[in-house]
Amino acid sequence: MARPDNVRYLESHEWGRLEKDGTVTIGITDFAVDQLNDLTFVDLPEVGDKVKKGEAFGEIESVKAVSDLISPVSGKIVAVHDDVDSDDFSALKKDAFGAGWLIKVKPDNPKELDSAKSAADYEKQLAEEAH
Amino acid sequence: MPFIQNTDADQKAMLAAIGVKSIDELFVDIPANLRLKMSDSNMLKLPPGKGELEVTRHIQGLLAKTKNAGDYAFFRGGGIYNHFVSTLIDHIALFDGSFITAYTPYQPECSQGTLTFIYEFQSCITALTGLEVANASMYDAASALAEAMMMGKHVAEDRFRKETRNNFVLAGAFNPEYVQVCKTYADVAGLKVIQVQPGADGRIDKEALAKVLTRKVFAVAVQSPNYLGIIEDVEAVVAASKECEALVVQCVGEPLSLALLQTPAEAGVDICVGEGQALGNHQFLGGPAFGFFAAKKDWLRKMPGRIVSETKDRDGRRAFSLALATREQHIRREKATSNICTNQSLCALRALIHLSAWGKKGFVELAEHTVSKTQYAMQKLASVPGVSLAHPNSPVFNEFVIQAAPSLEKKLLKKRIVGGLPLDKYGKGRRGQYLVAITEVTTKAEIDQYAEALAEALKGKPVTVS
Amino acid sequence: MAITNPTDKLLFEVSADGRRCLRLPALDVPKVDVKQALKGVKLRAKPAPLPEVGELDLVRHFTNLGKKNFSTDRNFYPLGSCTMKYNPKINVTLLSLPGFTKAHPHLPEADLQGHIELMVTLENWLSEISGLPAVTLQPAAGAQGEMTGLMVIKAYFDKKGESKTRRKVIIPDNAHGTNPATAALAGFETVTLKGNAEGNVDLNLLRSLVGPDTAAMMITNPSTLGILEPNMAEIAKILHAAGAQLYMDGANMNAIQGMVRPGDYGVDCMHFNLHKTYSVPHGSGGPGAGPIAVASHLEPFLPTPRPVRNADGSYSLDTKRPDTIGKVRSFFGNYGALVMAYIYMSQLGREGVRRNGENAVLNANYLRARLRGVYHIQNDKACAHEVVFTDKKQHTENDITALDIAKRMIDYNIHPMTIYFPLPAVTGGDGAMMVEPTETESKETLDYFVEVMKKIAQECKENPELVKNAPHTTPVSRVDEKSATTNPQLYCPMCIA
Repeated sequence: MARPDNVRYLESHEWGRLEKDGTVTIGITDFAVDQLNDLTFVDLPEVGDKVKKGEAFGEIESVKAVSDLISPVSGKIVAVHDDVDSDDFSALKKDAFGAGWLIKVKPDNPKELDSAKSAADYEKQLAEEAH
Repeated sequence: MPFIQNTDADQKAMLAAIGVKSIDELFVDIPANLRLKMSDSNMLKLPPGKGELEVTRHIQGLLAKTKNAGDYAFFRGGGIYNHFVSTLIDHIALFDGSFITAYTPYQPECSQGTLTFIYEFQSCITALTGLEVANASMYDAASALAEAMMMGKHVAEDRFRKETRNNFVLAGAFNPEYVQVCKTYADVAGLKVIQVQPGADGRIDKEALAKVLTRKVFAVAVQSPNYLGIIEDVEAVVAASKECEALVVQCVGEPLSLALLQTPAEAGVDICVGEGQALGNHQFLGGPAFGFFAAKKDWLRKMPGRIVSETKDRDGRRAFSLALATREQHIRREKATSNICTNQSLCALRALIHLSAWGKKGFVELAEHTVSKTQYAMQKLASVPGVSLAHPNSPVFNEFVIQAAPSLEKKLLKKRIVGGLPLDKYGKGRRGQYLVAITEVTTKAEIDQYAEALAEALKGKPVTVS
Repeated sequence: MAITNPTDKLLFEVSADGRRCLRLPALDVPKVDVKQALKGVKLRAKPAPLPEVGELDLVRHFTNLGKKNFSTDRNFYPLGSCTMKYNPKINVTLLSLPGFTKAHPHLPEADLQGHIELMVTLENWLSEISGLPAVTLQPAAGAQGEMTGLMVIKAYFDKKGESKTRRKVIIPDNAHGTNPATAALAGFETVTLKGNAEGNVDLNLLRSLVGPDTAAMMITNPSTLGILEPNMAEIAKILHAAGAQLYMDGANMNAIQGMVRPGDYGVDCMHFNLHKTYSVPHGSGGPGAGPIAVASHLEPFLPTPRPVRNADGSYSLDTKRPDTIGKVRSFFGNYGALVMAYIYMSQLGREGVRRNGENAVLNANYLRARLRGVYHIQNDKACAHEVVFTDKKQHTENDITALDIAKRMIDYNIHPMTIYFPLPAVTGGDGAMMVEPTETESKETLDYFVEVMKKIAQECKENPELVKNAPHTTPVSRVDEKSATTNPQLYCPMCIA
């Protein structure tokens, strides 16, 4: 499956997309959703909280695993996906890069996103990780 | 060799299959200079192995150098109680290998026996406390209280993100064993344990408590019945903690009291922990038994320890499995709710058998029986010249404190009586005080003997009043 | 309509008013009215809704539950890292003597002489096996032993005035999850040390991580991959040169007991899992015991009371220990478990201890040799007491995972090996299958296991659905663990009445 070109990717399987209004939408990739398999809980921050590039802003859990959610940018949270926050993962499973977003951030410096991977580089990483 | 079934021929065949000449070759990664040689003088200095007959004799020899509660008219508790333990329990939990030789139920399909009894155990703890989520048990009451402290801290961190709360309040008379363990855990976690000493009546000093209840407190704990045997007003502690929004933890040393007293849920506490020894577990110098741990369901995901849930199998049949494993150390590692890996399953099984064998009515009768005997003992001992009740107006369940004279132990021992536990070291002004415990095992005759022996021991002694 | 045998119901579901097993003797004192006696005390609104059952049904209930369990008395139980060896019957027989069952912790010291003697002797034996001079028996489990060890190390640095700077504990990436959880609980920051290609410690990497801010390194030897760490002495040197301590997780002592003493290669502190190495029954998850052994510089910080032998041959409990960390468990720890370990070790003696280690390692290597080529082995060299296979072959060829294989073993009456650990990150991305046969299994049982594993490998090729849907012979089929987590039902509805 081709992954969208208009988002940037982290090695830890989060993505970020700079929107027209200047905010950055953050989510996890379809690969991560697939890997975590049986999603059970997510722990997201609150609107108004600050996030830092490269640091965890929350956690996502499956029956037997838990992963930190890493932010690709620093900034202030302006929106949190309510359904996901109340552990409804249907949107996340259907459309990881669209309806399944997690948080929206007003970035301190939108350029920070540029240091994340392109779709092609991310695909390359996945190919290397598979054996 | 004991318990090893490999014969010399087996070993030879196995070494051949592996492709090595000797077992030693399998240990090549241990540098030769560090390896112990069987023939060496530096070989382990342990005695030679003994057979079953010899070991039995040896153990009997050791036990000949001991006396136990059964050898005396015995009046001590202080956290471990001399209860009757039904033979049913040892038959199921000790002598049948089905539970005692199984491991943690990680594979639910071949562990339904264990998972079912843990679920039933959790249900019993819920029945006793009224709290909706109970875990599969912890090491003992002391570590359960310490875990409740850590959990209280985690809950506060989540609820009050902008506040720093580091104080844990122990209100009133606590078992010193529990206090010491809590302090050990608090020390390394950077938390402060504040003890509010009981008032003259042995109950929580409400004014002193109010003074320490600031927004620096993340949780307040109360032991009820407390270490002096007194039933505390837990509801009042809950009310007092409302303003600073601290969690309230009730700690129970004698769970039989839960048969009669207001439940922790009715009192409004957030977490209830306690010692399970009194529920069908032997004394064993204080362990193993188990700590129970129950909480309001809001705090489920912050709760430490194993939890079992009902669920279904692929064919829709009822089944049980471990639940919420991501809280635990094997998955969450340094962010786990606790480092605890196990529970005290076998001790929890004993409690389940104990509670079911007594049943709803029997358990209440057992508690009522205890109250009657305790009331009789209080009256009888207090009627001895030179003996009085230390807290005459405070209600007790199965333990109470008498004021007599110091150093009575030896005189009582000569009459095969282990009297109440001396409280000299427990706090100021407790010289000559003894904590007396009563169970269903205590007979009227023993209480009468105790009173008689006290009277004799005190003859001619000046009455001490502290 | 489905019919259900009452023995398949919960105790709460077969409960009926008026049934009971136990009866009290006639009350020999005047009966008091509880409301009167406890005036002013709030009582519970209703009796606790405990089940009411007759003795026969109670016994049947638990006997039938027992049949739904795998246990070492009934099944081969090669669960890696758990050391599921035989638990001699004499342990529980002697433990149920009244001298133990009615040993109250507040008995006068004179009445506890035999018990204190037992504890002192057991401490001496563990000290001898570890090569470390002092032991405490107080920790109730391995995890509590680890915690006690780190607390002792912290107290040692406190005394030296270094605890503020020594904040870090180094932990290899293949460590059991308890290690980092314990370090965090003890107030340390954890630093992860990536293992080298063999899963051993990369000495250069370790040198680069160790510094004046290092408090300790926690290491498991043999490692959690079942491999002996060849450079223990060098690792100890690196840490000691920086003033840091070496903690050894003794979970895998079964392999090296009597062969090498950790104190001899520089370990400062280690814990034993008496429920693994010294045959305290696992009890469906506990109780166990996790004593720690320490070097002499850490001895002053051990928990109290300390059982001691006096010059006159009597025994006492020493509480006058100014530098102690305090207590980690009430009274003396899990004394009943200590008694069973003592009885077991009395039977082993010095030769038995050594032979246990040798045969545990022999049995594991035998399985490694016999199953080579049938299942992939990430690191095919001499292993210690356990061997790690992976599902690489079956996963790539037939899309069958370690979990499926584990579940299929149940149909052959063998308890599954450990599959959730070690983590894929340290097994090359494949699902691990960690097998620990222990020394007490016979060659016949090991050969049966080999045949079963070969048969399952065959089934993976010929009838993968059979494996994916296993087990087929158990009281329940695959259990929905997800719904247990997302929709937890933690008590029987009847218990809130």
